[in-house]
Amino acid sequence: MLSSILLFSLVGSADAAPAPGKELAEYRQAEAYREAMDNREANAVASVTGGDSLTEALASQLLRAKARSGEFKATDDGYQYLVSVGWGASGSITSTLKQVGSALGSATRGERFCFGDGDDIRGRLTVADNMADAFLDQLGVSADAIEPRDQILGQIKNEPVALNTSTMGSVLFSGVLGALEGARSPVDLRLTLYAPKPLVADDADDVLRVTTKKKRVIEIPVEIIGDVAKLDPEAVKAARWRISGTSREIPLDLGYAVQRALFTTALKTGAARLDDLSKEVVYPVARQKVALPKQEMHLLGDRNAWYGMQTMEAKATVSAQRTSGDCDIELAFTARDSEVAVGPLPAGAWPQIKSFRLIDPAQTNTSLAYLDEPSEGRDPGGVSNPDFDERLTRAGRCDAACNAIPSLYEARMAAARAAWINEAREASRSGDVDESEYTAPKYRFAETFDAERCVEVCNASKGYAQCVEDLALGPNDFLRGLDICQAKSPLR
Amino acid sequence: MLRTHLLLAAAAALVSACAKPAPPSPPAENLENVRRYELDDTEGLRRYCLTDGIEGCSAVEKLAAAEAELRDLHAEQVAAEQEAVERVLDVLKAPDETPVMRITAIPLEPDTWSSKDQEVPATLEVRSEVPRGFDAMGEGTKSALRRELAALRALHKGHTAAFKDLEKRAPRSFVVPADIAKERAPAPISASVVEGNASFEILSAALVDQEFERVAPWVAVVSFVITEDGLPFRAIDDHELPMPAAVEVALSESSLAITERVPKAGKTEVESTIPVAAVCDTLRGEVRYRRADTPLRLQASFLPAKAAEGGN
Repeated sequence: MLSSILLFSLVGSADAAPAPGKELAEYRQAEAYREAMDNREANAVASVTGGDSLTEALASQLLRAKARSGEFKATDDGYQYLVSVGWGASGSITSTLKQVGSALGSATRGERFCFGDGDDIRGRLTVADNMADAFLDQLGVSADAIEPRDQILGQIKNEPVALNTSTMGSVLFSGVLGALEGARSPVDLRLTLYAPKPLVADDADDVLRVTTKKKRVIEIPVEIIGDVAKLDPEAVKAARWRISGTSREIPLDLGYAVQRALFTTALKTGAARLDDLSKEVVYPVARQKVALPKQEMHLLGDRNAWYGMQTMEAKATVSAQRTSGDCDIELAFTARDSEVAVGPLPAGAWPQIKSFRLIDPAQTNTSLAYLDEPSEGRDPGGVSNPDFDERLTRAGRCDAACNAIPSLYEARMAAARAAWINEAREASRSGDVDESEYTAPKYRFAETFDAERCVEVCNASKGYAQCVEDLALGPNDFLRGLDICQAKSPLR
Repeated sequence: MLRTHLLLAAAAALVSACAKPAPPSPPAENLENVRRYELDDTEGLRRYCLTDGIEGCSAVEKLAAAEAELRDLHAEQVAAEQEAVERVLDVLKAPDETPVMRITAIPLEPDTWSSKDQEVPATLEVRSEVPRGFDAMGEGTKSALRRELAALRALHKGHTAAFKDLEKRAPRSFVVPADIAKERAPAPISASVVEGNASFEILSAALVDQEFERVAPWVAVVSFVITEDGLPFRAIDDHELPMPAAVEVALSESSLAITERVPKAGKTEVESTIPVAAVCDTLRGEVRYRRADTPLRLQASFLPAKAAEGGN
């Protein structure tokens, strides 16, 4: 956006170069400026201000928030701190004014605009006369609103009064102003009120009418006390002022405060006086409110430890006024102190907070991170991940394996006995076998197998678990295998 | 009914007589031969305004003495059991150590990435081993709790016997006042620990107004972290894994239940979507622990917006 204003400026310069005369160049410059103002996409000021109005941009760049004193307030959740935030003109608008100046074309003569905080001037810009009104408009200021105007100071019946178009109407004011023309010292004027017929209806007609119980009506003439005189509208409408020393008649208009004051006097005496009149020039102030950028107040401790944040919004007052000094038009940017409530935080947290940092989130990115290092790494169970994962599932596997072994043991022992009987039968001619001669194979450790104990040992020993799991799969040498598992049991 | 009226009338007369003797009424007209009524013997009535001591006072005194003695004993026992309960609760306030965790990053697959601006899923395996509650609360916690519970149990047993003994010595008709009976209602104390469960009863009054400020359980915060200027531990994303409390204490005005955490091992996975560019900022997984009622401490960094944008 900034580039567009600069580009626009360059284009303007290129076009202006072959222009036949200064007036045409200025005209085109002003036209181009207006066009730029009208076109939001190519709005030169917006390019400088990032979309804000020029006044907002200048206010935000000039005024800087700063946390001042504060006071604590107890809440249910801890303590809140009410911080007073002041706005000082510590920022810089030089760059923005320079860019705006470049866009408008440098002017050495014209309206001298000054920007400050009401006390000090923080930036200046001279704008060509033919562009000044448009520039003022861009600043949100009506040229008419700050136009200097005459005012007359005087007295009515020893009461000081300011006479201007808004207090006495433009016609009467210009009449009085004319009467003062050329006067070097304070002047007294007499204003005579002429009316074609009595302005006030006759109060003598007023009566108090009373109806008695016997329905008889009594009328008593009364005198009205207080300002309840009945004016005759027609007579008032036709009434005229005539200023002493002039023959001009000026219609009475009771819509203006000064005329009402004069009229009150003139009602009794037929004339009123304006004493000690002297003329002065008044420079009206046009005020407007503009939003200041949203601020974030961050609560920070050592190493930028972050304890929270509170947003705040404020408005600046921009006062524009013509002056008779070095500046033709002066714009003052001020803002009232704001109060921001931060917290609540526990009492123990507040001593850790070392500063309040105010930032404009549009200008500053805030990142948050852990303040402390990660937890010290420790190995769960002191084993490798595969071993750890194996342990997580071992209990179920041990249950299944250990509980399958007794029936397998019985089956294998029975099979061994059956095999011996078969063999013995085949070896016997008669086919008779004395089964009592059978001697079961001896597996010293297998014989002591206990499923419950197996589960216990299995859960405690990866090796044993593997051994009994393999057994449960039913290897051919099951009995021997079981004997080995039991022999190797760590809890034998 | 008639009898009641007569009694009331007599009582009224008695009261009236005691309060102020009435003068005799004058005789009726010309009835000299009629036998007169006798004057009421007000003096005699007056004598009965006071009686000798009513029987039973000594019984009342015995009952009062028995009640006073019982109340004293009860108050003493409640106070003693309250203190014993406090000692049990003090043991349970011991802070516990953090669980043991290991996080492992599942390797990313850079060969499948198509752009530096791409975001991809990343997974961390979290293996944890949570020890039994008393082990996490420090050596001696289990034995201290056992000792205090045993002391409370024995104390209550002795209290029950002493109270019954005193009750026996009271007059036969004596009934324990309702308020004391209510405060002596048995309140169950139960403890469930890894080795098994135990329960007994104490005076319910010993649990009234007891407070237990538990130590908040741990929360593991598993994060994908990078290092930036001024921020060594900037989290891209994090996952909170609440851990069970080392010991759960359910305290009310009528019961106390203590449950120790059983040891547990587990494995879980957390997945985040991360910008692949973060890999170049030393992307890693980290774990931190915080109490459930306390946030992790944070650090702030402030960079001009344009500079920050330009940096990307």
